Amino acid sequence: MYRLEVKNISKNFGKTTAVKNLSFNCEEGETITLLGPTGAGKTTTLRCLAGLEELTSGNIYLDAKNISNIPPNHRELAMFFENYALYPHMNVRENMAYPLRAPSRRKEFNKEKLDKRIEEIAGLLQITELLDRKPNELSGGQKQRTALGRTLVRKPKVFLLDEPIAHLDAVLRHRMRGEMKSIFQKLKCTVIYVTHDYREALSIGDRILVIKKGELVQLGIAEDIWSKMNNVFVAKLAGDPPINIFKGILHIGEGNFKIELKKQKTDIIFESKKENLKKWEEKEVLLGIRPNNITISSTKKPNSINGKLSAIEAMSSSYEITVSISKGKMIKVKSKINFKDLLNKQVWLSIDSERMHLFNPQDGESIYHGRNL
Amino acid sequence: MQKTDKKSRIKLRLKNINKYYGEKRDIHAVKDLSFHCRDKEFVAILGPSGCGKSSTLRMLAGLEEVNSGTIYFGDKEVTKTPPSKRNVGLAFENYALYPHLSVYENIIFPLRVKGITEGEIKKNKRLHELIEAFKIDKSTLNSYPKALSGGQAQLTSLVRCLIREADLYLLDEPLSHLDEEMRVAMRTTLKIMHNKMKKTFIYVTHDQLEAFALADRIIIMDFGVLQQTGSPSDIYAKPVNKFVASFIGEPPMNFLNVRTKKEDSNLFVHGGSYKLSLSNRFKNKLKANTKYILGIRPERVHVSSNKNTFSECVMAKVNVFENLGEINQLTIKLDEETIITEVEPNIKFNQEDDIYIHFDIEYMHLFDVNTLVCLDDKL
Repeated sequence: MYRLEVKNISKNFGKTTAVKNLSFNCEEGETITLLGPTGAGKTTTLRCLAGLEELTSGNIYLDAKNISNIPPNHRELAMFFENYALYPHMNVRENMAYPLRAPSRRKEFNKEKLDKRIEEIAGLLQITELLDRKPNELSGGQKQRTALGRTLVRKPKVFLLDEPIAHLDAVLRHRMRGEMKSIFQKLKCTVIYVTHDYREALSIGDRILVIKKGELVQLGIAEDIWSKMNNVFVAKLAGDPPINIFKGILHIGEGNFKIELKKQKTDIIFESKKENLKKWEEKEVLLGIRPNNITISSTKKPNSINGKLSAIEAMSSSYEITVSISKGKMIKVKSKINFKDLLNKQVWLSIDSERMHLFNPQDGESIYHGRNL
Repeated sequence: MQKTDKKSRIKLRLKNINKYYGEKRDIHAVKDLSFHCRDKEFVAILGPSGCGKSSTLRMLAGLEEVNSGTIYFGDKEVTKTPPSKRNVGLAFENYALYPHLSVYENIIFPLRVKGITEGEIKKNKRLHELIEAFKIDKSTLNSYPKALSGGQAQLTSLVRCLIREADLYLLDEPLSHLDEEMRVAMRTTLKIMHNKMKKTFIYVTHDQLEAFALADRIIIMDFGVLQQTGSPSDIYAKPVNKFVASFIGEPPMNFLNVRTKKEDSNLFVHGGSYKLSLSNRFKNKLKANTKYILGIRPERVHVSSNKNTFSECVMAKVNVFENLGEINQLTIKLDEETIITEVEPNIKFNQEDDIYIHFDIEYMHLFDVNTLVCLDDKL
């Protein structure tokens, strides 16, 4: 039995389809992240699960019980929105206690039980010292934790979280990301988590559901989303800087394959036992290679791409290098080496063909993943 | 590298600059600040809000009076020179666009002011290059400031600044209103433009990633005081104090509370349940039986599930394991403290797994618990 079962749900707003025939299952204790760009239908999906939007078609089951027509307050789901609203006149403890003070819950949570639960959650969120403070005495991150705490004190069957940490600054967001994952694991929560940040999605999700224009594109574990992506859309969605894409023609040689990059006047040679590649012989394909799988050389190497090193941007412990290879076409390379002496000079890029991807240029579907992936 | 740097001309020099605000001059916003920029250098002034970085930039532009100290552009003192005579290009966080002029007219304004004819402006190569590079499309060029998003207005303001033939370009958070994807893309564009223009840029930001990516040299400020200046890699490797160490780096540096102990004339540091050897760098720098803060970057913390991998290691438990695609991140609980490290994508751990940590002692920093000064030998 699944904790949550979503079967062929669709949601139309007038003539626009926001969610299209979406199906997935979520096990008890599992976290699924919904990843997609703005307008992909992530939030609408979550609102459908919460009962805040009526389904156009399809069904939702919670512990095998169809809840599609049950009102939101009886669904045993807790939703957390990005724009949290804490009650300004209540302190942290009172804000957190609020959901448990509802008339329907008074029997379940007496004073003693309530305090115990709040302290347990406050401890997990590391806000125990802040319990007596008012919202205006809290930093952005502390407010976020309080709001999260208010969701977590309830023991719903499923937590629905919509971009809970998106508007925090980068450093705090990265820290909260790990903390949230740890809390979900400790409390054994079942979570559906919406985000547009691929790192957050890969990190927090036991599985990641990639959504595009209301449709499921891929559902899988982080490793698969990262290195066995279904198509070029998923490839571009995850990665910073994003994957580099080249157009080429696939040729079959003796015992190997060759991608001819016409514009770059070079060939990428690789070996594979994949039979399905044969049908792409002499056809156009897209070659995808992540920035960390390209190496830079100051001298010409066989099967390399020529360009001008036009910018070096330092990261914490690596460098992001931009190479202009033809008018307007920039390639991004991630490297541990600072190529400062090569700035504005000619360089040659070698592609690690064992870590490249090939895609169908028509529909973007994946054709091949390098054998070291 | 050092030699060529010394040869290049000093473009800008600040000497003992002070700035006070408030009726009673009781807010000391910039304290005795001195630094210089070389010709063609890209310098970022980095610090949290209220550290005095914007005040400094405004004094360089002549928009704020200097209470004491001197500013030189090249050999010429400009401390009291009005803004219009300083020949600097300015772009601020709040765009300051002319509302009655279109985006295009705003951008070419500095050229018009110089008396350049419309015909010549149309042929201006830099103009077209900048418009294309910063992705200002035709419809945006024809619209008026009130119709622009914050990001578009900022890019307009930035292009208007760069179109000028100035000696010095002063930029205050010029990308802050762009969405994340665009901000990263435009950051690269700005870096490429700086390489092409070969001019001196001073860039104010609170975002360490931006400062790192763009700058040849970073000046870090806190509470109006210059904390450290150096190349990104220098500041990253050799922070002078705990503030700089914690402000720079993502994921941030790990800090642990330790105490020194002497055993057979050798000094060790002890944490809750562990003991670590010390590098010779710290010889004669530390006292025995004294508290210190140990700092170590995530990439200098090595881990294994096998005790025998390292000669010296500490046992701990995995708290969080995060797959981030290109790399995996681990949060480890060591006694009551937290350590973050990164491992290759093919290495996996689960929550609550036992893990053995090895600290690369050559890359360990120690900070004085009171002054928070870094006690490393200056390399």
